[in-house]
Amino acid sequence: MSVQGTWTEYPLLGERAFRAVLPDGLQVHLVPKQGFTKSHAILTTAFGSVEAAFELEGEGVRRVPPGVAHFLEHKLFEEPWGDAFSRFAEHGAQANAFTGHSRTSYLFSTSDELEANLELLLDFVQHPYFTEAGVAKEMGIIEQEIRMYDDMPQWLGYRHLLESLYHAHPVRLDIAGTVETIQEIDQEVLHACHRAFYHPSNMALAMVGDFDAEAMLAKVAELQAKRQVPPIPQVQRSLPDEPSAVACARLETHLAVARTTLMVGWKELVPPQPEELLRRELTMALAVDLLFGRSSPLHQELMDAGLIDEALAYDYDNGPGFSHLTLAAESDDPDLVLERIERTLAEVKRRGLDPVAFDRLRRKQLGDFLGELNSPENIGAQLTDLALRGDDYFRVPEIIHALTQEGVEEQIARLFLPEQRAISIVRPKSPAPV
Amino acid sequence: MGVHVLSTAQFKTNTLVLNIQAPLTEARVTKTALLPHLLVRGTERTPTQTALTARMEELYGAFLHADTFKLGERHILQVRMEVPNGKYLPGRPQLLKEAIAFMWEVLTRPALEGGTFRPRVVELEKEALRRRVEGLFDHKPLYARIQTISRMHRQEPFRLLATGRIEDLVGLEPVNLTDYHAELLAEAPMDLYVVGDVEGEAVAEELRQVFSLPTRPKGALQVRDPRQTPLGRHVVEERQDVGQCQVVLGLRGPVLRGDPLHPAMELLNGLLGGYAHSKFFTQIREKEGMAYSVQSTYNPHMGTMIFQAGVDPVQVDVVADLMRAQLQAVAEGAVSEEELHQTKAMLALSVRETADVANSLAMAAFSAHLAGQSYDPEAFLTRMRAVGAEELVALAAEVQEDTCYLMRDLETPSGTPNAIQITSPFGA
Repeated sequence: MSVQGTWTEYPLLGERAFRAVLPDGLQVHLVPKQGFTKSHAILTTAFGSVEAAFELEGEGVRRVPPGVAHFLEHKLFEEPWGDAFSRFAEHGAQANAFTGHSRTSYLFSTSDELEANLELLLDFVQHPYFTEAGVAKEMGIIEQEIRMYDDMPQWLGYRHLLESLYHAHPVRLDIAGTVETIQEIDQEVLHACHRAFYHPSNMALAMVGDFDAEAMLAKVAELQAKRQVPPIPQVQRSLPDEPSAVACARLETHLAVARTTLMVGWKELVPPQPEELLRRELTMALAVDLLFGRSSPLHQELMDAGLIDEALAYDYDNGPGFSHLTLAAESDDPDLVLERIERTLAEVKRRGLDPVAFDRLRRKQLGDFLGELNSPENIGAQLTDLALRGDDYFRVPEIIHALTQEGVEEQIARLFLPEQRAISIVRPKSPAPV
Repeated sequence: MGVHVLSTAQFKTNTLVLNIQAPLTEARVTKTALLPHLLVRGTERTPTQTALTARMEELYGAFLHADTFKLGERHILQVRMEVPNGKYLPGRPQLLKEAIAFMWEVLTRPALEGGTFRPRVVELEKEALRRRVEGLFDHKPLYARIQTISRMHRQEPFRLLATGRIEDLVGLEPVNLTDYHAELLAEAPMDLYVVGDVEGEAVAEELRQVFSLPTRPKGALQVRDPRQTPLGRHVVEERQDVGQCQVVLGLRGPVLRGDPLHPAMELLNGLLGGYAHSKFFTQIREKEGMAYSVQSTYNPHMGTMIFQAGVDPVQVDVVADLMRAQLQAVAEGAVSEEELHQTKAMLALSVRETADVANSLAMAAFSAHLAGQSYDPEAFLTRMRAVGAEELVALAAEVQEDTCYLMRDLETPSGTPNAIQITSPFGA
């Protein structure tokens, strides 16, 4: 029985996608793109660091040690015949993986042997193989990864911000866990998580490159049909109750650094519903550009006062049960920067946005999106991430066109509430080193 | 000015990259570092950030960035713009033409006051430079690398950071920077690259008309051969209040970019610590579990290599020795057919994928241009395929350790008690 795919055309973007859902539930998204020397493939599962507990097939509720998703990502590369990286290299492919709050992805790029590498990708991700020695040794590696991030002011500052925003939700924990919590990880919990969350029905595959999409779909279907895929597991995920208020208004810490890093976060009172998520994300991006971007009066003011040397960085992050916006800056006077940010917010809430700026920044958003289409890696990651929640990455321009100034103003009024704000500052240890 | 149009169909944006070469000297380094930041602060027509950025946004979010970096002992001032290709936008606007005009304006018509860069803006950018240099202390792997280079190249211009020096800021006046700007416009070698789905000849002609600058020497600034520098034998250590320590080895080798053995040197680097199948990754990370980040890099403009790892305080000396042992093993013949095959496959991929990113393509073409060659990745790969294990073995024997830099924590005893102690940040 052959799998039927559907073509969707995006003529204005000059893109097209060939899609199907396999009998085992795996979503497949194929984007033919000519002129690139390499093809890119990414396999993503809807499982990440924000798990607290789950029940698999009625076997009893199981607590998830923080850092399991990330540990599993590392360990899947180990196979009985060796390391998957080595075999990718034999077939001329560069492979990688990353774990996020609610997604884990495995990917490769190659200019050669695409089908052999595809088979390897589907195989090693879906085949869990762990040894006691491998698990023990991985703890040492991940410990160094954790320590590397803990010395970085942006990472430490962000982790502390999340601790301040959230009382109990697992998003407040480092994606890699801690040196202590990863000691609790064993083969048994790795296998249970794999069974629960690495079923093809919980995953999406995207491939971007110069290949025949219809032939590639047939190949993927053939490879999956050869696997012994169990029935879709019955999984109940549970998260702790999280109050809508923030946990702590301000957290300061010190590191052996020369500059001071400021992070400000606003926790949304009510995380957005899945069907409004993409629109919310694009609205937020526009809001931040208008309020704090390089063409904003605030940016000019902060630069002219020597309070910042580059534009404020932002991130709008959301997932099951959580949603927040973060702003970050390096500044010698973080409290003054905060005061100016709040003044800008108060003014915009009172007077509304400048319609000329709104139109201009909407243009910028459209142009930025076009730039993103130059990267097969970016297309693959966004396609799978959004597809796993029912969204289509290529519809972004359409949604940008439909955004309204009122909608952006409403979101600003809704999100930027003083009582929903938390601050995290990382300062130099004293005496200041430089 | 050199005009190079790389016409490729796959990008949905068009990229303009202007590279200006300046000698890397104490007298100039900080002026070169400051200049790009002054240029993007404002033009005659749009003198404020707000106005300048608004213009970029009107071009559908055109991106403008100016900075400096080093390619060997040449200090490159780069102005880069990227604009969407209008054919993907409603009304099909002609954005490239506007971008070209705008880049010309940024380069030649900065906002001035009384004939010089605005004093207030110069003061702000001097302070920003100071903070930028101080902030290098904060990213420990980068800081460790900077310290290694600073010690290893202390007798050479390469020790100078592209970011500039704080000590040069005293007495640096707007008129000095304005004069320097004029000097570069009059004399510095300049190359402008355009990458995108464009009509080669038409765009080249447009660029030649708009960028009407005095004629200047074509090609590359002359630099000395860095292989003349005698080998040092430095071991330095620095203690910081960190959770993870840094091990960095700086090594000198006999091969520069463009030499017949260049492909072999890239393979040696890849084999040692350039990829996930490499000796550093498989031995130090996967087998011993002693590092998450461990790699080697090769600088083809200087002929040098850097080995680096982030490790637990008690593993500092062990890992330094493990890295040396891997190099020694290769010098003694430890290059299997499998490893060689894998490394060639990965190097071929990274050479080919340069064409998939506009900035990388422009950089690769410029790098070849500086070496007096045309950019020919397939020719490089043909030579690479012919390299045998014995060449890697021979090269490994000629790569020599010059400097060892160790960032230790505050408590763990040192395994190198005779090392030179660095007691203040950026002291070398």
